[in-house]
Amino acid sequence: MSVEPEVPIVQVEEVRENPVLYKIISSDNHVFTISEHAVKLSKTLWDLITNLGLTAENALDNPIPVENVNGKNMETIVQFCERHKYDEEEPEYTNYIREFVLPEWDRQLLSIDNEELFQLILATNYLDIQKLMDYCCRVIGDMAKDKTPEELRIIYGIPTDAEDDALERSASDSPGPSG
Amino acid sequence: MRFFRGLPYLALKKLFHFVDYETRLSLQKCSKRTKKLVDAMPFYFELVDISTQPLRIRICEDKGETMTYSNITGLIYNSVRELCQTLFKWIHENTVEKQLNHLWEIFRNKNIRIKTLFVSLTLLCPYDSEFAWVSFERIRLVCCLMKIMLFSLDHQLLVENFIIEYNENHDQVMCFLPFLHPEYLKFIKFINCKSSHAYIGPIVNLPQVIQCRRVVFDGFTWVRMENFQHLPGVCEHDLNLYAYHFQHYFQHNTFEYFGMKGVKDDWFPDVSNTFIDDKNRKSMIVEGPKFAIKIVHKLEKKTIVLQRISLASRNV
Repeated sequence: MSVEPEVPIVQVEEVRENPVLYKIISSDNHVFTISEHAVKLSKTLWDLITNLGLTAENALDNPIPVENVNGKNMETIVQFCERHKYDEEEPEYTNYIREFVLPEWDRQLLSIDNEELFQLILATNYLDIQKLMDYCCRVIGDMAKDKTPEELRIIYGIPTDAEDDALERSASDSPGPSG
Repeated sequence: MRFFRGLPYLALKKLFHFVDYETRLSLQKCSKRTKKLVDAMPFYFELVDISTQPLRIRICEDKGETMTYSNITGLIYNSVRELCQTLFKWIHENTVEKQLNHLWEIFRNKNIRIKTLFVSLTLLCPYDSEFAWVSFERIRLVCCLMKIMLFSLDHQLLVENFIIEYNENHDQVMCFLPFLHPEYLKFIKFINCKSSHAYIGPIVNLPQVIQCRRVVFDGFTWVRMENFQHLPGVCEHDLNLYAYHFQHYFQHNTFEYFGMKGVKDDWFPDVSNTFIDDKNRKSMIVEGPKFAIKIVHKLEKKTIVLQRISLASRNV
């Protein structure tokens, strides 16, 4: 790993119970430390750690670069994972029950700008963190409640039919890969 | 502007899990593209309840009893109006049609899934001939319109549990059940409200009933047991079966269990080869070529249960 951290290491939470720590480097070179239990919530990261053969001895010497996630999102993700690392595995909610209680701590964590929240979902999707994905989608689902189509268009970034048509026309007019 | 701010499909699918029906309708109006997306995303209703006395359609999105259309005032208004019409002994066809149209709008979507469809077609004041006539006419109208509506769909409804209570013959059931997807159904319950001519012959031969894991018949009197012999799992309440042809079950390898409630204490004939099982219940075992059937009389529940057991376990 040739990436040298330019900013101080962000110690999100002191981990007493589990001495195994991993370092993650975000796309903008912020370095985060995350415990083993917490990192397991991300399927992508845990697969990477397993495939790289990182162990308790060499984990801190081999930071993991995550190029698709910036520091701001990574900080939220690390906070979330550390918070929920010892949660019991919840039973998969049935398709018929959309209502589950979003804990207040998580609601506060996700009280961020609309655009940032969508960026966080993209990062969560990339890192494959099911619980955080559920929570984020719940928050943006709630945003839509009792909104008019116009308001929904702004919240979700939905182009009008005319914009869609224009986009389609420009796509068909532009030369293909062969020129 | 990127469509849904560039969310990948999996995230979109999850997002739609948390979007209520009202919002879906609003999203459909945003653009043609969102309409296509909304139509492609499954939507789950906890309950669709159609009752005819007075005509009331209740649609719940989840266990919190969310009313679709948020139209509680409309529901109360329609119920009161229908009740008044019943009292004055006339039916306003437009009211019925209008309410069922709401349902049709929902059912048109192929991706709608319903946990429980409950249909109640019971007569109001069956002993007052004029009231009963108004009730009967309303039921007839609802059934006809539902049949036309469901027939016009290009798909079968995805319903997990179907419960219907009715007074008349099987025609009323045939207005609903054949339009449900047989492979999606897990539970069916028929409740007969004291009708002596509620034949079940045509019903039990529907693929929806044959393929269903659990079928319950409640309140059917004098039913021939052969009617059920091809069904894997049947439960009967308050019935008087005649002709106990258990041997028929051996011809159908799909048999799992059969239960009857409301049986007499001396249900087993005197000549039966019964014994007391390990749970202190009067039992009997009938052996077939491939499996055996254990018949247990649960006295406290006034129930007879026929259960498939292997020949090997019978010998143990």
